[in-house]
Amino acid sequence: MDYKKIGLKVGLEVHQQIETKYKLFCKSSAELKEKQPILTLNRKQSPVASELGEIDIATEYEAMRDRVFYYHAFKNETCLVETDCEPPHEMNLEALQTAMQIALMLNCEIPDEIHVMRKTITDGSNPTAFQRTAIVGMNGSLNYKGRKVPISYMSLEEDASAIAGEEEGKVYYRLNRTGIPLVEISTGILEGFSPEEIQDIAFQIGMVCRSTGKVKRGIGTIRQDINISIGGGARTELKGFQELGLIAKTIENEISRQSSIRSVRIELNKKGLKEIKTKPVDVTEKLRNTQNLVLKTILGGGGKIFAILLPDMSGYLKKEILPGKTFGRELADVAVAFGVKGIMHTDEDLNKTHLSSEIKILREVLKGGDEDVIVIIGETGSQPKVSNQIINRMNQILAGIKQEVRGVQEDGTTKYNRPLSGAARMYPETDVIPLPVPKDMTSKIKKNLPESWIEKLEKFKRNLKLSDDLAKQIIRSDYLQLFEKIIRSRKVEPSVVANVFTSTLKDLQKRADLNLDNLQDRHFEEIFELVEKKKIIKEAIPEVLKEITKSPNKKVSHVVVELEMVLLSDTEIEKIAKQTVQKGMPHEKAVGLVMSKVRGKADPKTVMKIVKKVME
Amino acid sequence: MYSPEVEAALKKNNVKAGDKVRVERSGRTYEGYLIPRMELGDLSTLVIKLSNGYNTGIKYEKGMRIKKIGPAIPFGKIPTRKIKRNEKLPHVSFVATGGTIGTHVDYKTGGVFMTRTPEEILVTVPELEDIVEIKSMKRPFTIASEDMTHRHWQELAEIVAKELNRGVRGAIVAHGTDTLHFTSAALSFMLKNLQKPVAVVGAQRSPDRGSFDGRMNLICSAHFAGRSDIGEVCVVMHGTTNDDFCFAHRGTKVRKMHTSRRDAFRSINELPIAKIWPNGKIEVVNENYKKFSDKKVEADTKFDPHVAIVKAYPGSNPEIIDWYIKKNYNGIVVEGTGLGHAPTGESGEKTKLFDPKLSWIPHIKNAVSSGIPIIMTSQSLYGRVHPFVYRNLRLLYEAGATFGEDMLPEVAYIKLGWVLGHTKNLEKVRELMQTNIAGEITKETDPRAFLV
Repeated sequence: MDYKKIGLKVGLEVHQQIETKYKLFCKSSAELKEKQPILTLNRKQSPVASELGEIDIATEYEAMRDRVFYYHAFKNETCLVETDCEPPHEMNLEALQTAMQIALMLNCEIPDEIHVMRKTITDGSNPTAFQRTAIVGMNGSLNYKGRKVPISYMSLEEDASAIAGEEEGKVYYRLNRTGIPLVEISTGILEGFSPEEIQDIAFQIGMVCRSTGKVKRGIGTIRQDINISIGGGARTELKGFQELGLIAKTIENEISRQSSIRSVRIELNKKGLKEIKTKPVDVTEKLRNTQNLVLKTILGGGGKIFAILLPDMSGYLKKEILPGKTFGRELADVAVAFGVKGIMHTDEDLNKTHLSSEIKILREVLKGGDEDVIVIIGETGSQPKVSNQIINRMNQILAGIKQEVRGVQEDGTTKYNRPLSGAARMYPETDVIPLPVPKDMTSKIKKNLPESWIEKLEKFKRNLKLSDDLAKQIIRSDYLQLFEKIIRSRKVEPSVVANVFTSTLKDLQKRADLNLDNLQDRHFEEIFELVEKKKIIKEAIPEVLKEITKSPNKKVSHVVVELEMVLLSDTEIEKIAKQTVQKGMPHEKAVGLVMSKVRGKADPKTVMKIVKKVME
Repeated sequence: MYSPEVEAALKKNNVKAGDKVRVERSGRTYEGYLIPRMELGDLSTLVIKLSNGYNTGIKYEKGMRIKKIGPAIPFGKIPTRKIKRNEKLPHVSFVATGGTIGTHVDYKTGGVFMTRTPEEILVTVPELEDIVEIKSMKRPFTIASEDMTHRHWQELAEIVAKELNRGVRGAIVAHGTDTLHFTSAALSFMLKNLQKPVAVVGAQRSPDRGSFDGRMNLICSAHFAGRSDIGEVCVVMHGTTNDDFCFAHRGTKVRKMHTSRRDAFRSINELPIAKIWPNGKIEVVNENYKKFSDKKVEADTKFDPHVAIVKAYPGSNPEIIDWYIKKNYNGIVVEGTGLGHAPTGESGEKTKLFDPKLSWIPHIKNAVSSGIPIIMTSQSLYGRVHPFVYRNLRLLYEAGATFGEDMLPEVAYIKLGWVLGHTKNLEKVRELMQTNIAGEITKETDPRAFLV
């Protein structure tokens, strides 16, 4: 596909948590260790008028949903700052330094004074209903295959609360993630890059962050958002990539989805349909005697049923806009996001839903013919709130102006999440005073910038004699820092260490019975100390790791003894060889027999040597 | 305010704060709106609002090019709300006096102003329209509550009395939280024969944010003023850290017990009068309250401002009392320790460790003999003072100190000013200070009334 021709424009935002002891604006621990909440509090959030007297559309949407937010507080990891019960403390300078380091590695200018802002967010993910954020870098760039990727700005901000669960009208959040320092790196508009390349750029930005050695690692510590539009059309923001490798596929899907929606729009516009002017009609009484189970449940719960006429749209809701996903489903996603279970419509198989007679009634009430679509929506309240949103959504599609946030699903498709926030949702955080950046602080950081990951890659290949593939794998690994530490402090084969952190761990991950979370840095350090001191052989490492996941509190040296994996001395091997080897035995068979007795406790090369000696 | 050097450069380039500008420095260009500076930080750093909404600081350098490239952004217009009329709803009056609940953040500049009119406050809480019919809105002054004086209390009492006597069934007073309990106490004494609900309400979080706590406080205040059968001044604020219900605390039995939590206001030495939910449910917790009636109220605002609170603590210098006497003060509330103690040096064995100059006895004696009442309260806040348990107490009592029962020190201070506004007769003052007038003294303490 010619991405330039279709007018693909992508903006990339990479969010990376910084590794610090404390949060960005208080002294709560940023370790995320606690599991059990010490307190759960509940709050509501309401729309706030911006300076123009308008309420931000995303904010209004949240208010419409009228949800209650429950916040779990954790020991040492939550204080009154996170619960919105105390003003922020001074900014965490350690986090600021790391952020500046990343900014300088991305060739950004550092502002002379840091101004903390409040970014309005009323989805409950922050008890304050805003996120504190400050620009720490501007006008930077990343060199990508000889091309310049603009980094328009970089900010240091508070991470939002992690969602812990959701049920009707209630959302649960964990306050331990709230306020963890996070950098947000925003590229300028990327044009002429393929989805694969964009994925690779996201990866490289992540690598820049990681090369500081001061960012968090593991699931959820780095997250990407992607803004995407084609042919100058509406912008969507894709959020919640479970893994970086999904980016290219998701962009491809989004391109198809946007093109399909656009062709629907063009067709309908051509037919003269530019706006849905009909209003939702309350048909609760007309359908009082329905046998349809869904509608019966709504009526039983005291809800109301509304019907919408979509003129001249017969057949369109059946249209596939992505493999397996119809246009009707796309509208249903909106209904779901606004709090109902779904919608029913005449482009579905009416015999399946047993709605044929109801539709007959509705066609009369709404004065609709076969060329029109009728949509039925069960509302929980007395007002056609969700129904109006469906019309709203249709009209925005018809006008081609819809801006929305979509959640990325595991299969690389996306789902309507909420309207995209407008501008004017940023204003100064008056509780934190502007922080002048001393010139010498910048120059000091500049002087001590860590080597880039590309330099590191070359060094690993050249000095450590790692293969290109292995070097790349270890550089991407969460264990990069630990790898470097071990290589520095222990005399062990670098490729052995690298392989443990890459393929060995990958193999162990496949074992559902093993809890790899139990593996701590010190375990690996102890293991390689034993390897260095020739107490165990490298072949024993997988077994030792397995055992540690089961009893992480034991010392590795004890585990090795228990597993009987302590390396045998040459004399011991010789003793075993003498007992095993019989005269006239073929050499290979003799080695095999001895090996079977000392497996995991002796280096095969040594065994061969000793067997040879014994047989002579 | 920028530094004089920057201001001069701006003037020279014909640039005003608010203008859209282009700033060039060492080959780099920045565009955005020039934001007026807060007084804090480096005053010679230009604050530019970039197109992405962020503010950032660019240090001014001599010879830097600053050019106006577009008109100034209009300063944030504060949205107001036209109030929907519904005569069938209970009629109340709304009085705004400033404080966090009345602040307005200019979203563009970040300036915080205490300028919100009642109409502007109501923008954030449109629900009020469906609870009460707001007959009138007053804004006698707009100040932070720490700047309040007896004159403000007097004016407020006059306004509230006038409003109530015009026929509304209740009043809502929006107020800064720091001294909200002083005002609620002052109104409790000054609104004589009050039998209508008067809610004093504030906010601990600013209205610019979606987590604005004043929203629920105002909603519950409207239920209190419009629908409750309580005929007293009450502080209506968050009951817990959750957004679930508010307490209505008696105006003379409440205190701000936390600098920043939304449930900072607690009833002391009695249970709150009622629990109020934002959906309108009102549950009476403490039956001991004056019932609603349509009677006229009288503003009895005479107040002697020459009263003071002093604190007795280990090592405190009692000469502070003499100083106040010299300054023509007419009454002093002592915030004593525990049951109402002050150092006397008379307890236990006499040792040289206690400097006799630190004994409060002669100073209290001196004050009382000059006709100046000394009211003893406790910095423990919870509980009642008692003149006879320990020898030091008896000595203070004998010296002429008046023991203020279970009155909060701040309430005793307000009451003393109000009483002295009516009589200077020492015996009369002492008698009134120990008589319950506005719910400030309870006969007995409910054993549940601690840390609630």
